[in-house]
Formats: sequence, structure tokens, C-alpha cells
Amino acid sequence: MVRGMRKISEGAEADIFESDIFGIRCILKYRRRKPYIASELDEWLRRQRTRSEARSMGIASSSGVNVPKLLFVNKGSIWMGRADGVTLNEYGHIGNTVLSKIGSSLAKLHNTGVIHGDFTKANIMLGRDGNPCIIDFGLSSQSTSIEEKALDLLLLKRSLSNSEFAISISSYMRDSDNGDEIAKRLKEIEMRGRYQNRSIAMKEEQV
Amino acid sequence: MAVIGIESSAHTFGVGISDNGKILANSKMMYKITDKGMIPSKVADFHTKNSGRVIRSALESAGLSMRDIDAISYTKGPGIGACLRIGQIAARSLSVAYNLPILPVNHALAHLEITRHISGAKDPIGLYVSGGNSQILGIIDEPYKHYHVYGETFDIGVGNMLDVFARAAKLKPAWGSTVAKTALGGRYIHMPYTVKGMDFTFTGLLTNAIRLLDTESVKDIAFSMQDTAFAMLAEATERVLLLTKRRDLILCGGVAQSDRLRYILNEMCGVHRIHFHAAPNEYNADNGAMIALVGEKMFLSGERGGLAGASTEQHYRVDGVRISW
Repeated sequence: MVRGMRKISEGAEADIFESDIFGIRCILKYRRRKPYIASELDEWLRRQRTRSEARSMGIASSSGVNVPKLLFVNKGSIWMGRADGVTLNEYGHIGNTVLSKIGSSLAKLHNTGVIHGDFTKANIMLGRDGNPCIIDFGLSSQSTSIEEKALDLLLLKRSLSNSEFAISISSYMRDSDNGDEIAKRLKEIEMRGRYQNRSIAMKEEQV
Repeated sequence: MAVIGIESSAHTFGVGISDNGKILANSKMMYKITDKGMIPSKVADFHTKNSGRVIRSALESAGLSMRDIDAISYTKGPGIGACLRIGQIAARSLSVAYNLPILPVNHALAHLEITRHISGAKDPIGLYVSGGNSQILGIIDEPYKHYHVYGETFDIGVGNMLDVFARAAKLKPAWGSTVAKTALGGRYIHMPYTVKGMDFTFTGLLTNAIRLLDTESVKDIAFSMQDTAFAMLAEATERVLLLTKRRDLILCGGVAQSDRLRYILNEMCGVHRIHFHAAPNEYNADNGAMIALVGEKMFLSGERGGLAGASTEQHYRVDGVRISW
């Protein structure tokens, strides 16, 4: 059934393999055991994250966000369709349409109560069709918390340049059910003492 | 070329001497922490009383006199304001008395740089874990050479979490190494595990641990809180290492003295064939040697400082410091 498993990337908590099932190209995401941390914690993390990831992908897909197709799930492993293209952090200039679609996708996720948890360029793939595909829901959760949504936006903001983020946030605001409140919280988080210099430093970096 | 460095950001008053990258002296005196933690004014009094003695001790062990010293460095921050000011005043006084350049040093940068110096790793990722801070950093060149913060705590430092728990559980002495001892042989209880990409938070874990003191054994809570926190740090660090593709990890700061944390990080690095380095413990605890070492690097690269810029800053961020060497 499964043929030619090939490891294509090594992540912080999971390894990604490429393979063929019944002739369909697909991806296996396998959460490694971490024998060096408490075994009960390791078990819990692998199980809980695999489940939560599959649930988030399901919700995202049914609310019209472009994500890899979920094939099947068992403890520690998720099989999914292969997204086309490369991740945005390996991409040169990102066009305005794409940036706008990214903001829109995040708004749709948040409207249905999915928090991505690691919403950065490394987790957005762009194929030839120009349609960004959101990947790696490994740190996702289901929540209506304004704070969590604002933290997703903060991660995106730090991953993009100021001008790129401006485009994404405007489509986010347009499509979000409570964009004003979330944007306000984002500002508050950035004003929390510890991070003031950091955001200044980040801005300088992007000039 | 000899530089004397003064550290006084928290409970340690330390004086070190660096001579061409060689540490000639690392003297210190530590304020004894009671069950009340650190009261800034009392720690500052302690530093004031002992500063002269520690400076003399450092010069003695290096076999030097102030006439042999070429520059003075001191901790500008981050740290406790009242404590920082004692080191600053001592440095300013020496600078005026002996007409020497005075160089303000970032405390976090000093921990990272002395560990990098000893490890020999050229381009490592650093995990800096102390009472006030927990950050994952690496040097980047844009827009100027500095330690970029890839991830960090969104609330308190991991050391602060361990210390506050130790006090709540009435452990003595109330700090991290006592929590580590108490944790040996503990049983796992599930606790909040919060990693956001490369960042993390500790207050939820701390609140949960303190609440459990009514119903669970201190041993089990200590074990579970500590292992959860260290697993979080290891996961975020692993993510930064894989993202940046760097091949070395250096561990520094007060909490770097933890054998359990070293074990977890060393094993994690092993999975990816990354080299793991931790500094000797005398440099993980606060010390003057690291301040002297960075002072010397600044001096050798042409920085000369001056009394006007010799200030203190409680929240002095490491990512705002330009590396000139």
C-alpha cells in the first residue's frame, strides 16, 4: 500500500515524509518520541497535538481556507495530501494579491475559532496557482480568545516587513468578525514593556 | 591589555579581570537570599559594603594593581536598578581616579559571549536562561551586527518561576537548585505546557504548581513543573536551531547550572547532530569575568566610552546592542 517513504524535512517535533498511497502523492507527518523528557508528557504532547492538528485542518478546510487535504490520522501520525510549491520564506518578492489572501485566510480561520499557533512565512506555501496554502497546524488550537488571535497576528507581523504586513492586516480587518478588537489587542501586546525595544529593533531591521 | 569588569545586576557583586581573552580573576560575594527573596535596597547596601573588598581580591588574584589596568567595564543592565547603580558608581569612581575609559556592558550579552568564547563555537544559537530572562538568540548582521532574539518568554524568566515556587513550597534555600533536588524521583502530574512557535510562557505553569501544593506532594510538583518548563525550552530551542540551520547550541545564565536542563538539551541536540556547549558553572552564575571579557572586546574594537554614557538601564535589551567585534 505505502511505497517509497522519503524524509523531506525534520521539524522541531515531527518529521515529514513523502510517500505514495494507492498511487497518490502524499505527506506523512510523524511526531517523534522524545525519550529525554518525561514519558507521560511526551505521550500527551504527541497524542494531543496530532488530534488537535487534524481537527483544525478539518475545520479550516470546511470554512474555505486552502489547507492540505486530510487523508487519515492515527496516534502520532497524520497522512495528508501534498501541497504544491515552496514556503514563503524561500520565496523572493511576495505579491500584493498573495499578501491579501494571507490576511483573508487568517481571518477565516479565526472566525471559525481556529488559532494557528505558528502563523509565519515558513508555514505558508505558494504554488503555481498563486493561492497560498496554510500548512503545519501542529501548534494550533480551537479557541475564541482575542489574545490568542492577536498573538497569531503578532507572529505574522514579525515574519513580514511592515509594508507587507500592512496589506495582510487590511484584508484581515475586512474579513474578520471582530477585527477591531483583535487589532487593538495586538497593539496592547506590543506595548507590554518587555517587547518595546524588540519591536523597535525589528522595525529597524526591516528598513 | 587588561580590563577590569564589575557586575552587580542582582545578588552577586562580582569583579573579573580579562587579559587578551584570558580570565585572570573572577572574584565575587553573594548576598544571602532569605525566604523573602531579594529586597533591592538591602542588596544594594550589601554591594556598597563589599565592593572595595571584591575589587581588591580580584586584583590580588590576578597579581595586578590598578596601574596595570587599561579600561573599566561594568553591567549597565538589565537588572535591579538599586543594585546596578552600585556597580556603576564603583566603575565611575575608578574611571575618574585612574583616568581610564569606562565601558557599559549588557549583562545578557556578557553571559552569551563568555560562553561562546569558551566553547569556540563561531556562529551558535544561544539559550539564555536566568531569573529575569529566558531568550533564544543568535548573532545576525542586519541591520547591524547584534544578537537577534528568535524566541523568548512572554511573561517571566524560568529562574523566577523556580524561585517563586521554591518560596511558596517553603523550600530552603529558596532557589532553583533546591527545586531540582526536591524533584529527584518525582512522579509526573500533567501541567500547562505553553509554547507559541519559538516563544513560551511560564506563569500558567507556576500558578498551577502553587495551587497543587494543597493536594499533591512537593516532590511530584517540583518534578513535573521543572520537566514541563525544560521540555518547553527544549522544544522552542529545537525549532530555532532547525529554522536557522545552525550547528551549535550554547547554554548560559543562572538556570544553565541545572543538570536536568543540560541533559535534555544535549539529547535534543544529539537527535539533529548539533553540538551542545555549556559554560563552566562559575560563568553561569553572575560574575565579573564575563563583564571584563566583553569590556575588553569592546575596547579592542575601538570603543572608548566615557562618563557621559556610563548610565544604568533596568530593562536594557540585548537586541539593541551593536556588536563591534
